[in-house]
Amino acid sequence: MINTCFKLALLLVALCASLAELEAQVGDFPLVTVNDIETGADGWMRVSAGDPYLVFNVGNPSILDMALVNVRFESRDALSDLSYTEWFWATGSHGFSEAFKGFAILRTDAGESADHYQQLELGRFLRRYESPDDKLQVLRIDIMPGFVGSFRIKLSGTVEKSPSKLTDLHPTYIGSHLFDGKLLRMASGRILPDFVGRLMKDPLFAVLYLGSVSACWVLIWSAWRRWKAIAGCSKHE
Amino acid sequence: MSDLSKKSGVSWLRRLAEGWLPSGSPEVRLFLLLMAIGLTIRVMIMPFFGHIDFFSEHRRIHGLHEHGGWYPGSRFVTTTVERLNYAMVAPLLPEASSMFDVVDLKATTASHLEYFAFVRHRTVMRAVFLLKIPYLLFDLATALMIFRMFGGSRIGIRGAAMWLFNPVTLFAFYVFGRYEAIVIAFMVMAVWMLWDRKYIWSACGFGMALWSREIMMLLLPFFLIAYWRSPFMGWMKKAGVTLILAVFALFAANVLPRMLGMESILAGGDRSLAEFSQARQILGFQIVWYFPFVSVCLMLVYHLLMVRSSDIEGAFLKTLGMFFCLLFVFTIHSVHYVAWSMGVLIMLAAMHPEVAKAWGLFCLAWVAFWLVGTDLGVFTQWLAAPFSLWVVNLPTIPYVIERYVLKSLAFDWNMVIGAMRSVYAGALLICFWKVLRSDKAVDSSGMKGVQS
Repeated sequence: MINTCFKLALLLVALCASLAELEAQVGDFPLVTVNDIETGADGWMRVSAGDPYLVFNVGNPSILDMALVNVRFESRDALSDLSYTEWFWATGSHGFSEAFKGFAILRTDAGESADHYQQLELGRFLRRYESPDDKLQVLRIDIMPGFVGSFRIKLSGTVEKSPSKLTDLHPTYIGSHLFDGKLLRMASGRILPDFVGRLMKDPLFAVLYLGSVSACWVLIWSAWRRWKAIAGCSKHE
Repeated sequence: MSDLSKKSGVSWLRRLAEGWLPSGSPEVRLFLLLMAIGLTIRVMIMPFFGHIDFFSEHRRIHGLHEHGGWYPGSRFVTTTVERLNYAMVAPLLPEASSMFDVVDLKATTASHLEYFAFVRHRTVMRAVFLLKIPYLLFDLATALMIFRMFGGSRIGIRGAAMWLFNPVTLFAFYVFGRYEAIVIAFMVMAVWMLWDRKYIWSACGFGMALWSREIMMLLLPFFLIAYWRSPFMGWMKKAGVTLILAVFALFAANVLPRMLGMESILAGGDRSLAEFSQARQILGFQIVWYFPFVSVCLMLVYHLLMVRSSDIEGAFLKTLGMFFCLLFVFTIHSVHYVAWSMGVLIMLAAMHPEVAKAWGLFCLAWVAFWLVGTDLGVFTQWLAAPFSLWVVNLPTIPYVIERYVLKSLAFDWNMVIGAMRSVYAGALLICFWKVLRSDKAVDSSGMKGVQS
């Protein structure tokens, strides 16, 4: 059984490696932006708090069926306060021209440098629900009113070659590092601090939750002992 | 034990508990162990999940709490239970005003942007945890009722275990975060009481289920036939249970509240609670293959009318099980609606091993279908939690299949969804068939022996 699992794991790693090769064949393509957003020489667009929303118009809809949005924050704090929503306008056989498709919460870890950015893949919902002919045409991003600070957005049409924290969590990466514990460390590096952070921010919840869970485990232990006692008696009988 | 302690309230409570769950019985101890494990699982996952519907629902409840109104129309029971709980936990929700505040109480269905504002709150997990307490209580009460229905026997333990650990209700109550736990608890109570031939209690239970969720109206004909055909009650009692159900149905369909001028602050508006409370909404349930569904329902009604009246309880339970199977074969439904069927199907599965296998297959098919039928967003993305896959950016199963499997094959995603929907429908039909044939294994009279 263990041998079989090991062989399957090797197979998975090989499969992921071949998929990584496929990934490299995807090319870049240009995007046209609207909304008079100030764009720096490096292609990043600066957005200030208070902008109601951004609209990106994709140049050639016949090419793009997925976009990657990289969000780079200038502020290290208050990032968990930012959420945004994506809307896709699509035309095609389905007959409607406006559809909500997805959203994401963005946040950074404490101490993350400003050079890091987070990446989101947009468009997979579109391809899920609509006909294959539909392409992403216009993307609208709404910025939550609670956001404080500013951030910059860059649209690109391919997976970034340069590794970032989140592109490292690409499936190919997961396949390659499934068994060396690195993935687990990276995932726990995000999930656990977040969970612990929320517990720290809300001590009453921490007491309620941890207290309830502890009480439940005591209940299990007590019920187990009582059941085992009677089960042991019946066995002796 | 002294006389004083015997007369004390604690002793009275202990005697009551002993009467219900005698602690010396191995079955009861096993049941309590299962309950403790089930409770722990629930408590552990409770704070982290909540669909946007959960948020919308509690905006309404917050509105009712703040404005002091009541909503007497459909879903009165669920609304009231949630509101009572809200009143109790409100002192522990310091951010409730900014969390749940809504300008127009007639349009309480939240947008995704508003949902994000909700999720951003510092105490969101506390709120989600506390507001799900009624669901937990009704959920555990349902397990207890199923256990008691079968006289605390091994069959009861099997049924309770199926209830406590099935993925459908765990998802519906604690991940999606819907009040279906309340509706189903009353429905299970109604079936149990009918099984025990306590018809007035049964009618009250089903009336409460009706008043909790108007979709239960679809079950009304089956309950009425079961009452009318029962040889174990006289005409007066039959008229009584009919009257009870009629009153509840008129409330649930929002007829009586309107006639009596009991308007609510939630009434009116295009997407208000009042709209959902119209009886016509029942037929707004997207029955895509409408005529086959109605035809088969008529066949089920005919079956219930023709069966020997002495077998009516067993036949009634089977008919409800078959009805639910067909409902989900023939309709487009949301992922959590399937929870409605669980009470009845689990009762049948506990009694009949063949039904149990089919029920297990149905649960697996449900998971498989919804893994591809929707994005994992339904499971993970719309959560009031940091565990969103978007946050850790782990790929979802549909994403992996679509990107790496389908790309190289001649399939598109809609074909995969269609195929899995067929598998799901197939599992439901197998369940239907096994329920139909279940009297070959253990018939209702045999089960009466279990109860005694």
